[in-house]
Amino acid sequence: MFDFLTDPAAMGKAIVWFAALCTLGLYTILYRENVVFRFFEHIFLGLATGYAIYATWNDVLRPRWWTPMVAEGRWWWAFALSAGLLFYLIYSKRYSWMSRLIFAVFFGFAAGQAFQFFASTYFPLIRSAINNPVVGVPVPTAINNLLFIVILVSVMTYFFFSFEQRGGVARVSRMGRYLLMFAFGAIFGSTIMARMSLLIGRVFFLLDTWIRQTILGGA
Amino acid sequence: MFRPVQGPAVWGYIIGALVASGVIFFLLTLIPGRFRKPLIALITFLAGLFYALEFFWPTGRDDTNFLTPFIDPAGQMAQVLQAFALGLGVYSLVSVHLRSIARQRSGWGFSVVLFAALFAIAISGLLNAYRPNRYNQNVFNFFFVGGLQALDSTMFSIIAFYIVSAAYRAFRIRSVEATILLSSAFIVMLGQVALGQALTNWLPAEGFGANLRVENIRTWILTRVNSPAVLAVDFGLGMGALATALRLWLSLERGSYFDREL
Repeated sequence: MFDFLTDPAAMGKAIVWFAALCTLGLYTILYRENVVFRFFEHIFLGLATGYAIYATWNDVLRPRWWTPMVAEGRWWWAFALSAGLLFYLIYSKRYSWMSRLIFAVFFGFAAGQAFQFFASTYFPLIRSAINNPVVGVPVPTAINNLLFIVILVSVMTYFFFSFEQRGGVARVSRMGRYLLMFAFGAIFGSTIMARMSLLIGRVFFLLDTWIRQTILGGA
Repeated sequence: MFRPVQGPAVWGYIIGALVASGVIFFLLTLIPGRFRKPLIALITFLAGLFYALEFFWPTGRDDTNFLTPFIDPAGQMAQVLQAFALGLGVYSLVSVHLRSIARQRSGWGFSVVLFAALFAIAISGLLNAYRPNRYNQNVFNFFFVGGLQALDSTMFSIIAFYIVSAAYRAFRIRSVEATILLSSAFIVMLGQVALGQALTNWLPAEGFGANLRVENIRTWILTRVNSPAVLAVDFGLGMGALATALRLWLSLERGSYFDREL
């Protein structure tokens, strides 16, 4: 009865049909809120949650916790279970304070790692930003490098709130705001194009993979 | 003491560890209210001190110090503990939808659909991981490729429609800033599509004239104007994150979560 589940061609078609129905179902929201959209929205939520559970077990807990603990005999990983269960004490009125113990570990880790992250990320960035030479290089490169430093300083000045900005500082700050708008425009344009390419991908899937190849049987 | 144990004896050790955890839990319950906050502050400080010390402590010729070998195990432990925390989100979602089904609230059928999808992909994924064969693989692919991947990219592509109306509101030229935003976004979009590139393809591909081709202007905007501006914002973010981290580490942070009596 379930032989088709081992047939690659039949399963390929079933996957394409399911994906096409899911795509069309979600696109119905473009007309207005409706039950078809809510149906596929809940399927999406369920699949995403189910996949997160599967991936968490299969990619993290099984290889990094269960296998070392049970198969390799590193029994002390059992303490991780007890520590992990502390998260769930947040639901207990009496013992909820204990959940903060495990949150405290993560706050501490995050704070400690912030030093490493800042030093390993921002120090090289500052160095590379300052090391852009403006002399001894071709004129276009020098102009670009100078512009890089000017924009960097202007935008940083805009975010400098330690004292009231007046005179020359205010003018640099205003230029920083304009440059920031220029950068935001570029980011906005890139974001629109990225979403458009996703839309094109889905429309191409519907027109080519689903209608032309699967329904019409094109090559 | 912490040596791997082989064979069925490992279960004895695991149960022993769980019993020891139970004892620690019991001892924690005995801590008086006034000592709870200092204990939490101490744990936060020690956890932060581990990474801070590892970073600031002088290293030897091999670029490591006495704490470096513990970085990977600590990272692995953090990853495992974070994985356990996933259940908090799942519990919240499941409790809301179970309640909806139990009380037969409006739209409770959608909650049933949610549970069906959740179990379908989780069980087929686990079956595919533990009993890999063509049958299990196809069933998992049906839900993952046909369902999740398609729904994921469709959901994000829907934003393309809404971003157009957002763009209309944002791009109405009402100020210098809006004009600048519109100009750079327009050039970046134009430089990314074939139609826009066709407008200036009569210009030479090499030499000074090539700089005026729309795709090159787009690249220049992204690398020479956008990069330093984003870098400046990043510096601000980094400084803010560092200051917040320091406040958290030293338990100086204030707010409803931190000020509540325990």
